[in-house]
Amino acid sequence: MQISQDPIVWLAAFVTISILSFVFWNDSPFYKYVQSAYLGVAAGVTVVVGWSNIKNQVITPLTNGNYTIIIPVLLGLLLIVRFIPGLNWVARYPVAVLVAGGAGLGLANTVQAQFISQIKAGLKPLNSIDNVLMFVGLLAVISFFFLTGRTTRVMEKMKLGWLTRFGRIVLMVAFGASFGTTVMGRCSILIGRLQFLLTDFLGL
Amino acid sequence: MKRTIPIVIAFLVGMGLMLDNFITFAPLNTAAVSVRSWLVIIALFSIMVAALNLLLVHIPRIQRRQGSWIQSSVLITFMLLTIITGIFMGTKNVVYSTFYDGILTPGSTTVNSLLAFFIASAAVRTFRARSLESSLLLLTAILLMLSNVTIGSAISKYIPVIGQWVTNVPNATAQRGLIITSSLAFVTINLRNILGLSTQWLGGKD
Amino acid sequence: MKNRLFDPDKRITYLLLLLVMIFPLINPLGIAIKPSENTLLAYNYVENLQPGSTMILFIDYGMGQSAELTPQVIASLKHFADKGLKLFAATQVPEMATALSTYLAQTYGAANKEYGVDYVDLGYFAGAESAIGAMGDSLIDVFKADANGTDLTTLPIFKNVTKLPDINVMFAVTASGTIPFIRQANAKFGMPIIFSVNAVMGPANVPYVQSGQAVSVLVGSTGAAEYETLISQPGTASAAMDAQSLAHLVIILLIVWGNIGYFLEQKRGKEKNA
Repeated sequence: MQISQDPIVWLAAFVTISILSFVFWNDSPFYKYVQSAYLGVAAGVTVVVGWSNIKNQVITPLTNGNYTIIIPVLLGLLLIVRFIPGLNWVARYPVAVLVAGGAGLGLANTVQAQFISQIKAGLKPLNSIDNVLMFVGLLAVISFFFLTGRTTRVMEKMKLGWLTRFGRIVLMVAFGASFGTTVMGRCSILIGRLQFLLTDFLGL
Repeated sequence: MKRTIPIVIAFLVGMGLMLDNFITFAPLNTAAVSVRSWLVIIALFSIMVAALNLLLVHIPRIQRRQGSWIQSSVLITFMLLTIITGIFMGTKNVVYSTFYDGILTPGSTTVNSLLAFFIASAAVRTFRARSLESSLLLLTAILLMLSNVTIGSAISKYIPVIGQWVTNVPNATAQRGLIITSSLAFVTINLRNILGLSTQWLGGKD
Repeated sequence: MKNRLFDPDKRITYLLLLLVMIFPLINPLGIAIKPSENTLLAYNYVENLQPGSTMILFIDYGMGQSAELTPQVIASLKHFADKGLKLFAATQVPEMATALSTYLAQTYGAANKEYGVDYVDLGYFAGAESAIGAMGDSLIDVFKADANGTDLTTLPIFKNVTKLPDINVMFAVTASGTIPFIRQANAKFGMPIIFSVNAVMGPANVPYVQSGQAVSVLVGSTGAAEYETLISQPGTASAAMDAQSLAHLVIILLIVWGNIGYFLEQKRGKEKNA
């Protein structure tokens, strides 16, 4: 065992153990203050990186005479005006551009990317049990979302209640699969921290 | 003016960007290229707004010595130190690097790692085979947990095979259904935003 | 009344979990890692790329998920460098800008690749999906300069690449969603995308591989361990697999134990009422 001599590793180990102390000690003061420090640094890093980008993409082009970006710069500055009491409605202009921009960009391609492509992928030749299961399962899941609630009695009358129930079962399998992989994901982050403590800090 | 003009802007921008994908009309296509690049610059300023908001929430708390004001002081101190050293001394200087490698990296990762404890504890205490659906969920979860790690194939060569089948057939089927239905919801919500039928994003009453 | 035997204090669960994770990290069990279908798809796709092909890497995860996704980034970058792929690297998470520079130094830098010719660090970009959409028009307009402030037009790597469709393949490492990349790159330009996602998102993205919209989806640290095995360079992900295995086994046994207690309680309840 060769404990690290690097002060940054010691600091990182202190931060790690302080935050982990929350698990066994709900009111851990180490956890509270270290978490505040980390949140402060995270916010600071975001500002530093954001400022670097503003220098490259806004200040440098403007000082070089490229005034085509004046409009987005003004809109961006209007976002900050929202903190002035009585003038916060001004921020709606840039928010309108952001919200509508994201919507417009996403809308045209969503129908192709998520709707049409996935329906095509679900319509396979019914020449194997897997394909039949996938086709019926897809209909069942969609009917579960659209035909449950007010139309449940109608579905029962049409002898199609089994379809929505089957859809629910298929969804449970998917949620089980998601849970199984979620456990792996969470464990891997904890193992990563333990690897740091054991290898980098304690030198085991 | 306070509500109408933003709604009109949203309509023009949203419709313009959407139609740009379908119509070849030089003024529209050129304008769309410009607007797409504007979005990047406007988004940069929104980061600064988030940081400013943080200061406006915590500084009054510190001034009034209210609630967890000591933690707020710690947060603001470290935030300002990081900003000052990062901007004026560069990101390669020793203080900024110490904060990044010694506080941000371990802090962020460890906070996320706490979820491992909570998910394990929650699964052990609440995961019960009470009905057909919950039993199916439980069995699938156990199967996938085993097939995702190396011990699954060490226990039986069929575990990864069955796990792969569950992932590729019933799971993919359900996820496909979720993708299709959620895409319809996405289209509905965003069309309503663009057409001004939904104005929640405007916020406020005036 | 709660049965403490079948419903122990949660701190006992936490301690048990810690112990079964620590033990194999100190004394590895050496259980073999077998690459899965998805990992093989991604690996073979990269293997079949010609040297000089262009690749754009997007890092879309925060420091909190780095333990899960960084091993995949490192393993993939080593493979790309080995194959002689020209790399454009960027991140849409501010705190990962510094980390990205480190990953490039550890892989492309360590492989003596020339900066500006073989790879470029584009740093952070704001705007998420909007920015990716804008990259379809012009990469240079979106970034203007690299992470060091160098004008992109002066870099040789941009000689034949001005916009996103000019790049051969995308490698998106994301913990927030694959849909923006699919919408703006694959649906618009037919760009092949290899995804690496955190474990939570793994099952949800299988349909995109089946529909051909994604080349492959590498899932979490298991995907990273399998990739490390394929490139014959075991790293942190491979070292963690034994701990993963034991942790999963313990959680499963505790769930089963809890259910045994539940069924016994149900039986006792029925007998009391009878």
